[in-house]
Amino acid sequence: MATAARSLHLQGPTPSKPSNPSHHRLPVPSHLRPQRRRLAASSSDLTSFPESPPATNGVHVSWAAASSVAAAAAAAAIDVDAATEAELRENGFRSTRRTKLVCTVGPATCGAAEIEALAVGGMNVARVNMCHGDREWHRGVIRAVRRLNDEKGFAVAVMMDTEGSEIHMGDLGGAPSAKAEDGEVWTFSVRSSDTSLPDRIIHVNYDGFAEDVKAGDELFVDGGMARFEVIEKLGPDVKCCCTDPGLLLPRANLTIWRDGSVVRERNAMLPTISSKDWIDIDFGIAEGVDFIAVSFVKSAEVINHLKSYISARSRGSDIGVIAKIESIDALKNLEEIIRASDGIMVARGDLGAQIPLEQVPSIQKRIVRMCRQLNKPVIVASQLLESMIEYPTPTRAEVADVSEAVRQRADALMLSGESAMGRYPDKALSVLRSVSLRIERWWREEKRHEALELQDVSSSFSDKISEQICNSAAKMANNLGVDAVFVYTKDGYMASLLSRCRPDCPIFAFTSSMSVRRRLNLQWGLIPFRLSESDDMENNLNRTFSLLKVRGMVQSGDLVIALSDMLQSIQVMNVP
Amino acid sequence: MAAAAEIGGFTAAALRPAAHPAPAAAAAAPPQPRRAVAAQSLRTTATETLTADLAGMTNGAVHAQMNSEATSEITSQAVIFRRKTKIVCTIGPSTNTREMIWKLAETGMNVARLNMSHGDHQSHQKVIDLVKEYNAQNTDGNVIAIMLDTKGPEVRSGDVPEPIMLKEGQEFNFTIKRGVSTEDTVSVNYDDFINDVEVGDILLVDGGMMSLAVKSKTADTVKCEVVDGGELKSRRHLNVRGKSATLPSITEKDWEDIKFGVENGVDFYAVSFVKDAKVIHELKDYLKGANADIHVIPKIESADSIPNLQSIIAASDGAMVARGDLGAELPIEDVPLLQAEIVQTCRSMEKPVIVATNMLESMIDHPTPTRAEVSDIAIAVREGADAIMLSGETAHGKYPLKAVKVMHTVALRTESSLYNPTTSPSLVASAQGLQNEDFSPSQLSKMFGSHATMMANTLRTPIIVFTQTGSMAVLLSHYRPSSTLFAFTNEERVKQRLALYQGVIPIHMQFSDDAEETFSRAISSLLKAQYVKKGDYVTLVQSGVTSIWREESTHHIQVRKVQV
Repeated sequence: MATAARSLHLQGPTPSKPSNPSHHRLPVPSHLRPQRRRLAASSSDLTSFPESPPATNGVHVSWAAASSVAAAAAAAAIDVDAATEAELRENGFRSTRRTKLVCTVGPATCGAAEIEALAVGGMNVARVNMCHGDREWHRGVIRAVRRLNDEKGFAVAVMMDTEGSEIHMGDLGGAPSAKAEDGEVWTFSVRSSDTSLPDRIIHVNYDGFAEDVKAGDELFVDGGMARFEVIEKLGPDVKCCCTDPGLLLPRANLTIWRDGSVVRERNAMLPTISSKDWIDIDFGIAEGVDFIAVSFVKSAEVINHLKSYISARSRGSDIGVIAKIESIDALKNLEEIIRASDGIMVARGDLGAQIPLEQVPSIQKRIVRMCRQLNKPVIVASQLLESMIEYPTPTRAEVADVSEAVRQRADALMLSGESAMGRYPDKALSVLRSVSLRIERWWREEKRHEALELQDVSSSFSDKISEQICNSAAKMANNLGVDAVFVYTKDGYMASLLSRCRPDCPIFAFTSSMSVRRRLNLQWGLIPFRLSESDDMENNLNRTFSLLKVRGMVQSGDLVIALSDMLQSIQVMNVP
Repeated sequence: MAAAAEIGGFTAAALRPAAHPAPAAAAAAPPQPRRAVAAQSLRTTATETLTADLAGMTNGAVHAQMNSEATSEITSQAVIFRRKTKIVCTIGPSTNTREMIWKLAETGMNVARLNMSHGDHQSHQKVIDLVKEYNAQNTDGNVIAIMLDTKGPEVRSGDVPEPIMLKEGQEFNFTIKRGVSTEDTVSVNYDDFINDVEVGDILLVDGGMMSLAVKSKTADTVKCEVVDGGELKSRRHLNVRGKSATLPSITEKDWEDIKFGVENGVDFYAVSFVKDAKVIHELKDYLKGANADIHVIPKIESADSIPNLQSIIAASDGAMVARGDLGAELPIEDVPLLQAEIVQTCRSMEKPVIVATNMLESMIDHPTPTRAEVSDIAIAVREGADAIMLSGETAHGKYPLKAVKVMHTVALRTESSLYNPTTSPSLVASAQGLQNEDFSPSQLSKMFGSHATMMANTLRTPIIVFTQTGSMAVLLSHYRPSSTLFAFTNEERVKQRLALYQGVIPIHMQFSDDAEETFSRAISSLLKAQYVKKGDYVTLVQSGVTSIWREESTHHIQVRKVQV
C-alpha cells in the first residue's frame, strides 16, 4: 500500500446494487454531495461509491484480494479518514487518538493546501465563524473542505458558527485591531454609520445600549481584554474612559458591569438568532454544512425552533445543532438546552466575560459531565492555546488546561484564533494532538477506567436495549482488553451510545451514510467508516474484515466486539 | 444574596437577578448552610489600588455571608473560608518597593521569592529587609517567608549588540568561542555545549520560543538550521530537547548567593537544575556547617531529575515543579503528568510542593488571564499543591497585584468546591490506621493527626496546634483539614517556614509553662485578630514527637468553645 498513502477509496468492481430500503431513513440531501453526483451520475444510490480515475488517489484492489472472503458482497467499498488510516497502520488500534479536534478556518488557513495540512494534522471538524468574512469567502472554505473529502477521502465535518446577537462592537472600519490606552476617552455610539468612523469612536450594534448604561458602569471588551468606565451619556453616544488598556478587535463582545455583576436589561430580550444569523443559516443549509453552532443560546426553545426550521428547509436533513454555552441564561437552562441540542460547545471566552472567571473551570467540568450523561457530544473551546497565536510553543498553563479537558474526556477540543489567524496553526494543532495522545496513553498505562455511573438516556424500549448493549459491550471491551469495538449503525445513535461509555479501545463505526459518518467524526473515540452495508451481519463482518485486512488496518487474530443496530446483539470474535 | 448557592460550583448566585430566588442553585447544591462561602468575584475590584478591603490582615480571608433566610443559630456558626493554597510571588522591578511589597502581602502573597538570575545582592538585600520589616509589623498570622532561588548552571547565548532576526530555514551557528556576535554566529557561555550536543538535536531558545535543528558541528561551533524563527536577543536561555547539560547544579555564583542567603537568614533555597540527591546532601551539609536552619527545595526541571525523583525529594524539604525548563528538556505533553506525579510524591512524603512557571503568563501584559490559565490554577489546587507561584507576572509584569488577586480568587473558589462535603473529599486523606501495633511516637502522631483532621472536618472547626519544631503542623497540613490550621510556635524560624504549607496560618507566641494559660492566650489572640469569635468551637491538638506540657505518653485532641 506504499503508493496509497493518501488513498481512501477502496473499491472492488461495483455492480449496480439495488437500493437498500432502509437507507430511505436517512436520505442525504443532494446538495451535500454535489461533487459526487457529478462523478457518479450513474449511481442509483447513495451507498455505491463513485469510480475515480485510477491515476488519481483512488486505489483499485484486485477483485481477488478483496473478495476472498466477501465474494458474496455486493459492493466492496469502504471509506476511512486518511489520517486515521495512517495512524492505525503505524501505531495499531490502541494508540489512535480518541479526543477529536475542531479547527477554525480563517485567513491563515483558508487555502486548499492549508486546509489539507490541518486535515492531515488531525482536524476532525472544520469550523467557519460567521462573525468574520463574507458568505462568498465561507462558501469557498466549505467547498474546499468538501473537495478535500471527496478527492482525498477525509471525513472532515463542517461546522458553521453563527454570530449571535449579544452586544458587540462594529468592525473598526476595516482595521484589524485598535489599541486603547489607559486614560483615553473613547466614544461608543449606536449611531449607524456606513462610513468609517473617526478614531476612538466605536459603533455598537445594539440600539438600547445608550439607554441601558449608566455613568459609572464598567464596559468589558471581550471579557476583560480592555475595560472602560462610562463617564457620561450624550444621546446616542456614550463617553467612556479606558481603565485597562488593551487591544480591541473587530466585533468584540461587550458586557456592561455594575456593582460587580453583569447588567442584564433589555439586551436580554435580544433574539438569540438575529436576522443576519437566519440568512447565514439558510446559507449553511444550502451549502450542506454538518453542524450549525448557535451563539448565546438562552433556552431550549431557540434550539427546537431552529431544528424544526432546518428540517422544514431541507427535508430529512441531518444538520446537527450545537448550542454554545456562553451566557448566564444558558447555565440556568443547561439541562434542557443539552437535551434539545445535538451537541454543546463550552465557549469559555464569552462565558468568562459573563460570570466570574474563577467559576469557569468548575462549570466546564460540570457541562462536560452532563453532556456525557445525556449522550451529547461536547466541545471545549476558546483560549486553549491562545499564546500560540504568536509563539510556536504553548505556555505550560495551556498544556495543563488541554490535558485537563482531555482528562475530563470531552469529545472535542477546539482551536479558534490559533488556527484562524495565528502564526502557527499546524503547530497548535499538533500540541492538541500530542497532549491528547499522551493523556490517553496514560489512562491505559494506569488502567484508569472511569467509574462514572451513566444514567439511562433512552426513551423508547428499542433504544433502551441498544443502550444496555452498548454499556455491556464497553464493559466487556475493557475487561477483555479487546482491540476494537465494531458497530454497524444506520443513524449513528448506537455509535454515539458506545462513545458515551468511553471504552479503552477505539470504536470503528460503520455507516452507509456519508453525512452520518462526518457527524460521528465529532464524537470521542469513534473512527467512522463509510461502508455499504447489507442486512446480513455475518456478511457485513466478513466483508469488513477482508477489506480492512487488505489495507493493513486489522490483522488475523485481532480481538473485536461487534454490534449492530439492526441486530441487537454482542459478538466477540477474532479476526479470521 | 444566596451565597450558599455558590458552593454548588455552578450557579452564579452573585449575578442572579434578585427577582429569581435561585431554584437552580438549590438543585445544584443541597442546603449547606454552614459552609456558606462567598468567594469574591474577580471583577469586584478593577483597579490596582487594592487595600485592606480584602480583609487584609487575614491575608485575603473571605468571611462567609449568610443567606438571610438562615436561622440566627446558623449565622453565629458561620464558617470562615480562607485560601489554603499558598502564593509565591517573585519580586522584581515591578514589585521591589515598600509600597508594592505591602500591597502584595495584603493581596495574598505568602512567600517572596528572590530570583538570583537577575539583580544584585544589594537589590535583593533591600527586598529581604522590607519583607522582614513587614513581618515585624504584622504578628497576627500574615507571615511572608523568603525564598532565594539560585541561578543554576543555565546555558545562555552571548551578548548581541542588537537583536538578530532568525528566519525559518536559515543557517545559524553557536560557538563556544567567547565574545562572538556576527550575523550568523553567537557565543554560548558553556564549553561542554559542543560535547553535549549531537547532530539531529533540537535546540530551544527560551523554552521553545525559537528552535533550531543541529546540522553539523566542528571543534568549537555547532551549525544549525532555524526551525522556528524570531528575534534572538542577548543572553537567551538555551535547552537541548531531551537532554540536560552536564554541569554541576550549584555553580560558583550560586555558592556566593547561598552564602548571601545564610547571612540574611532566608527561609528557603530553591535550587535550580537539581539532577540527583547528591547535590541536596552537599548543600545540606554546607548549611549544617554554617549552622543555618534553611530548608532546601529542589527545582524539578531537568530531564535527568525525573528518574531520581524519589531520592531527590526524600533528601529535600519539598520540591518545586519548574515547568518551563521541564517542558523544554522533555516533551511538553509530559509536563501535566509529571506535575501530578511530583505533587503526589511530595504529598506522600509530607513535604510541601510548589507548582511554578507560566501560571498567568498572559497577565504580564494583559489585565485578564486566559481561560486556560484560570483552568491551570484550578488544576494545581485540585492536585493539592501547597503553593502556586508567580514569576514574571509579579517580577516585571504590568499587573502584579491583579495576577495575585486572580490566583487568590481562583484558588479560593476551587478549594471551596473541593471541600464541599457533597463532593468526594479527594484531598482529605482517610484516617491513618495503626500499623503492626506500632505505638511509637511518630505512629501515634500520625494517628492523632489524621483523627484530629477527621474530627475537625466533621465538626467544621478550625484546628489549633502548638509546635516547637513545626512537625505536628506539617503533619496536620498533610491531612488537608477542611478548615484553617492555626499553628502556634515559639520558634521564629518555624513560623516563617510554615507560611509555605497548605492551609497553615503560623503565629509566633511565647509558650508559658502552664498549658492552660497558653491555650487561652492563643485563643484570645485569634479572637483579637478576628479569626474566631465567641461561641465558635475549635479543635485543639496536643500531639507530636516532642511533647509540650504533656507527659511523653499522652496525646490529646479536644474541642473547645471559644469564651471571652
